[in-house]
Amino acid sequence: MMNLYALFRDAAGRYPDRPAVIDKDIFVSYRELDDMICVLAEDLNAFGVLPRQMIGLCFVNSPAYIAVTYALWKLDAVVVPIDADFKEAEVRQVCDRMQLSAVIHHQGGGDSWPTGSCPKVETPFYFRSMYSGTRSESGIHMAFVRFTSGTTGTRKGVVLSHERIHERICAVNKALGITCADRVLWTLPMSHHFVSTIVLYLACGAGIVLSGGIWSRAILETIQRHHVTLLYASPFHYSLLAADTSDQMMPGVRMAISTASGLPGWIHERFYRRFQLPLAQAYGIIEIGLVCINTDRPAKKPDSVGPVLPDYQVHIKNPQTYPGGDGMTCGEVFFRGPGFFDAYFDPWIDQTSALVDGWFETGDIGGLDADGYLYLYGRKNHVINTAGMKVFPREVEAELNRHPEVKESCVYGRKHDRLGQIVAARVVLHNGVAEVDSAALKAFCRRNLATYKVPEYIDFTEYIEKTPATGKIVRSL
Amino acid sequence: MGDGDMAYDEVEDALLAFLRNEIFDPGVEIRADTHLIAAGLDSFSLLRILVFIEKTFGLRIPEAEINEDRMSTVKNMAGLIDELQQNT
Repeated sequence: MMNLYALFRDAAGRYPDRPAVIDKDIFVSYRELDDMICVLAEDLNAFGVLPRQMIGLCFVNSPAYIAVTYALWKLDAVVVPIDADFKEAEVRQVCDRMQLSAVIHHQGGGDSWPTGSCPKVETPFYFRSMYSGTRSESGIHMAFVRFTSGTTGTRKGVVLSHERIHERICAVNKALGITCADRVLWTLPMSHHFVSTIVLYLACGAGIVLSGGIWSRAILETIQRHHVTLLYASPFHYSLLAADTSDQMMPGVRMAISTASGLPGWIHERFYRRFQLPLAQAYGIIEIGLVCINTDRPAKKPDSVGPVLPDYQVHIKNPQTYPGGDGMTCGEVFFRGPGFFDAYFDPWIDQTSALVDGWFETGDIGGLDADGYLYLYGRKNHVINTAGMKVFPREVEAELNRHPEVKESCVYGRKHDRLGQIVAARVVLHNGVAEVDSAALKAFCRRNLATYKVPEYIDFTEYIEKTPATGKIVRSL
Repeated sequence: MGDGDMAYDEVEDALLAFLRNEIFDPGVEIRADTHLIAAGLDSFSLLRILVFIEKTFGLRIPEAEINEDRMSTVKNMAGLIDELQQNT
């Protein structure tokens, strides 16, 4: 049975002295990272972590994040990443819905961790929970479950096995060609990006360079000092880099990948003008991996997420001319290929039942040009993408509706040039009396929701429009 | 200064209140000269500050000004906002 830790250990055997992670001036070599993983695995085992247990990981970006993930895999436990910004109520929700046996948390308050055994890991904390059972659904060798919030009735948790993750990184590397000579600049939260990226880099002997800041000057210095060859960042990071006024270039960078949300044309233009380096858009979904990367013609077709990678197939269903689609024939985007998720966790739905005749329905609207390049124009459903963070309107509405003065609410995404979308709400108060203001409602939401889910704009209204047939809220502005 | 623009002190107070209430944990002390990156500011929080400035002061901070010199402390940010208000 393959294990992702074994994949890493093979690379560590081949490249023991190469840097695996660089965090400011701390170099962690493959051998050192493997040592950290082994010590942590012993600690975790002594603490009671068993194979097939579900373990939450609530950590900020750090070498420790990576080491703990692989230590859990070494023990054959299942990693459930938890957003480091999550409030206690949200962590508790993940814990209950995913039946986690424990949560390893970067902030204090839990049981004490065995001390002093792993010097490069800052003291993490370990919370035991009420669930001590192990999971072994349908013989799937689970490695990772991504909890997706949302509300009652939606599918929670995307299950990935060691085998499927291995398949997807092999498919991605046909486009990226990562080798031990690469150093990747890392800017995004590891709790949201890991299995199609970090696992790949560490299987190839590449180095992961943590960005160490957000200002362009610091990032450019990091790129130069640590000989970065590949950038993996969001459009916002690129917009700040593009505005840099120094004369520092990035001669060693062979590819700059833009991900997390759509790349506005002006950011691509300015970045290209400043660094003579095109931004390659990538299109990834947790269920299916990175299926498109515009590595071939990023300069000629910057608005495209690229052709589908060689191992995958794309299908545009119900094509028609959409508004905003630049006259292109667009439809619902479906994919087929290796490394797709094994199942949804709660309720448990295996892959075969979740796919439509073997195809995954993305919920995105897009079209292909004559060369087979995919362009995305919007979403069929109402998930809000605010700077790459996904927000489910119904989760935010449920929180707003808990306020005693709120009768009903409607949460939607407003367009924003920097964030892509911004969370906004329309709220109806009981009796129409405005006894709370938007600041009070935002403060109320902040108690239980991560800050990126809290509406930036709240308008008070007298009624919320519903579709006549189903009574569903109309979320478009 | 245009009509309706806030005085420098008010801008600084509004930014401090926002950062203390909405960005940083209560345990983190934020003063006008606190270095915000050292205090734990990340790129998503920076985006939220930019949105706050847009909403509160009606100003879009140009990309060229979003750097260490202009935005690393509340004091810097208030100075930048003041300057942009003078120019509009």
